[in-house]
Amino acid sequence: MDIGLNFSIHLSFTVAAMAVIMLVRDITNVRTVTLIALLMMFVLEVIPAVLGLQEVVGLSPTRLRSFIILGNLLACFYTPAFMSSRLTFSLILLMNGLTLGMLEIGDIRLLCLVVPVFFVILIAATGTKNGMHRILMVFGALCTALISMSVLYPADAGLDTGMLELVGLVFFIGLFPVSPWFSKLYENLPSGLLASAFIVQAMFIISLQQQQSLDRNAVLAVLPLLSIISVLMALAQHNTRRALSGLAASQLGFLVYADSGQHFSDLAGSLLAQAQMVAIPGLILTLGILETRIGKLNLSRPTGQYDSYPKLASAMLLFGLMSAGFPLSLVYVAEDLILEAGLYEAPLQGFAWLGVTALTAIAVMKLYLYLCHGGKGFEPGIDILPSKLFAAVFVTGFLIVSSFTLTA
Amino acid sequence: MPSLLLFEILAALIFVPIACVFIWLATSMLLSKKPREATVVLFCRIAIGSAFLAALAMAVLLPIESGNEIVLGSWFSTDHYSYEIVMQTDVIAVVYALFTTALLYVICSFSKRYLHKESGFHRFYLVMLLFALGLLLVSFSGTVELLLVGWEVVGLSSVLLIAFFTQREQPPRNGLWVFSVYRLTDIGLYAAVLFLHLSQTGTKFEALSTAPWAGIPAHDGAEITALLLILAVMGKSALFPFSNWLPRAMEGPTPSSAIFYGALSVNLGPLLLLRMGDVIAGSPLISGLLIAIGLFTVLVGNLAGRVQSDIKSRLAYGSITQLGFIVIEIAFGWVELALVHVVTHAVIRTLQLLRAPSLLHERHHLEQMLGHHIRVFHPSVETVTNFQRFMFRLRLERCFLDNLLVDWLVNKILLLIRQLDKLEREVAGLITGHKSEAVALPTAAESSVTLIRN
Repeated sequence: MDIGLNFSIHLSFTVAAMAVIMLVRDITNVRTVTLIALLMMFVLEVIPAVLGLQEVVGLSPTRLRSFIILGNLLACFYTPAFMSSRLTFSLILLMNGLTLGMLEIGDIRLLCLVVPVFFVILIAATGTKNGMHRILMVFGALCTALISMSVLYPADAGLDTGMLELVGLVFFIGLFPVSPWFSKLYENLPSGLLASAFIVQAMFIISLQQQQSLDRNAVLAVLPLLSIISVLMALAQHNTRRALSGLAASQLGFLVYADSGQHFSDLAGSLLAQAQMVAIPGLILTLGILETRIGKLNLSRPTGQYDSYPKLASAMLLFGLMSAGFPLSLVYVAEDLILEAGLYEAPLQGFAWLGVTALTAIAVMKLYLYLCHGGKGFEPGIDILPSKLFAAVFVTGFLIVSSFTLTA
Repeated sequence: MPSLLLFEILAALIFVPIACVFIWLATSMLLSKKPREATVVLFCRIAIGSAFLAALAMAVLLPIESGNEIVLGSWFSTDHYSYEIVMQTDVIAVVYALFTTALLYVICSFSKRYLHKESGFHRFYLVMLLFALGLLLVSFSGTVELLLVGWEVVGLSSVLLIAFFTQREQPPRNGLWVFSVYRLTDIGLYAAVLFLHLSQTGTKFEALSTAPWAGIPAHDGAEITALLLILAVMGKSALFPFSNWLPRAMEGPTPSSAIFYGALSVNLGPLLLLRMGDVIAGSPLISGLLIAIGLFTVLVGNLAGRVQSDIKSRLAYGSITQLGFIVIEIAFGWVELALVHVVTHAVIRTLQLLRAPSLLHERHHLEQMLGHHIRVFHPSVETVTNFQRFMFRLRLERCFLDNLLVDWLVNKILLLIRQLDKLEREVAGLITGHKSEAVALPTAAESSVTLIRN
């Protein structure tokens, strides 16, 4: 019996109901309620696995759910309560419900509904600030249309559905040149919601490609180049949030590449998604925390004050290393599996992806060095609480230990 | 007692104490309960000292039982290969472990006073232990995969030490520069590991010479893999054309300069080349390439080193020159000579780097004793020929390697990317009706990479 599955569905409904209640009623400590709910879900997923009642091999739903919930748990835990509204926490929960829901959707047509729902949530989160609703509506509509067409058109109708789906996914993950909405989103959304949104995007890529395959030749021709441009844009940025958007987009591009490969072990794409659902949100969240403390972050020169926030710097470094595929981490294992098959299938593109992983690591190190070193001042009392650093260490340990429990 | 078990115990004695002290120090810092400086140094000395003694015992046992392999299990496995964790205890590994631990012990003792009451005292020792673990892992690794893990740990800890001084702008810039060189050249190492997976002959070092890849004959496959590994070696050991990162790495405290750049970190490249011995001996292409790289490295190190005005930079270029010679020795197959050269160079360079900070003080002292400044010979500019002028500029500009790399490659790419970024902002501005902030195009003052000239 899939114990975790039943609990998960049950709790998803509970959490969704809780989110609605929080929207209409003034609950004073929303963050605590949300945290408890997510923590309960995580424990209920993990305990059966620890007790041996659930399989935890690479592709098992329990494993995937654990990572999804852990990512959202981090999003809640790292979102500063004093800076965030009830709406933020409610929407994080909604994103969590949406991601878990994707695991249970068996019908690809129903899965297409995730795209408009996702964009509606984003519009609700950003409001009309800086004209965000306009850009989200334009790109959301285009993205929904492309993905829906790729799914709804019959395969023999003469339309290259694989290509349409690829273009739709490029829109959805915000790769260059259709990245304006994604960069703007990163500039305007709270970091907690960005983290949850990244998890939704990663889960959507896996879910969609489990049900409909992409045009592999198009993927090989287009994605490496677009991902390299995205990660180079992240490296060249002075605006930290835009740099993060380039970094996230290139990693999502890598995920699309991994999931579309027929030569690959099924494990590879799923592992990458699982690991990045925790590591990238962690990086986004630590940067969000830093921003709430010292204001807008600039990458034009090193201006960090390490002595003012050593714990935060350590957490940022840990999440950064995990997301960049440092050896022994789960991302490293996933990249190893993906690139091995990738080099065999198309060596040139394989090397391009090796370049993407190297540039990602450099971009992550730049974030750490430029935002945590180089400044002269000292500001007391702005470091994170030890519990947040413990959480980062726990997640890092989780990502390393889980790489030792794999069987393909 | 069976010799394999003995070697296993000795290997555990090398790694476990250092790992335990690392975990203890990391946990203490995590709990904000930093131990006393003296306690930290004592525990580090005990851990590194026991590792040295264990390596010494291995050296004594080697003539009796050489080339043991210790299999620690498997990390993960797929349908066609298994990621084995294998350690190798041969002459190369033991020699490297011996001089690594000996020099680390010296530097550990030196740093006690040098970094006394520095705010990053504990951080330094923590990163130094991480570096020691990475270095020993590379030395004893029996597979290219395990070597990669240690290689990356060494790279990361080196960068953290270059950026050790947190309140200055230049250390993080130079740290990023070094990390970029490391990580981009490490693509070769990553690709070599993946090729060896595909060869299905395993990733042990013997497989390097017999690895067919994707239908390519074994000999060609081995050459491809060797070329990839050489790329990684060029980055890590500051060989031509990546030589100029080494002087920039001197931003860290003197003990870290001694450990990482003069003595230990840069010698990982020769270690990997020594492990590839069969491939180099069997391929005129590879050995010829290595001789050419070595010669150019010697040339760059010698030319640029002559005009350096500070002692640490001069020593760095001295290291580069010697590394060039070591690579040439390996290319000619003179393994024993190369090993002796590595060890003697590491020892002498560590001594020179540790003495460097006190040289200025001693010079002032000498001048006080003499009662006048020590005269320095300045050649007359009137006697300089055009060729000499050109050579002087070549030396000052470090053989124009950075200019070629930064002006002709990196800045061009950055400019193109920032133009694309500007375009993206304009599109977003059109749709939202909200004008985005202006894009900063790279300038000499702002671009992180152009600052390497400073």
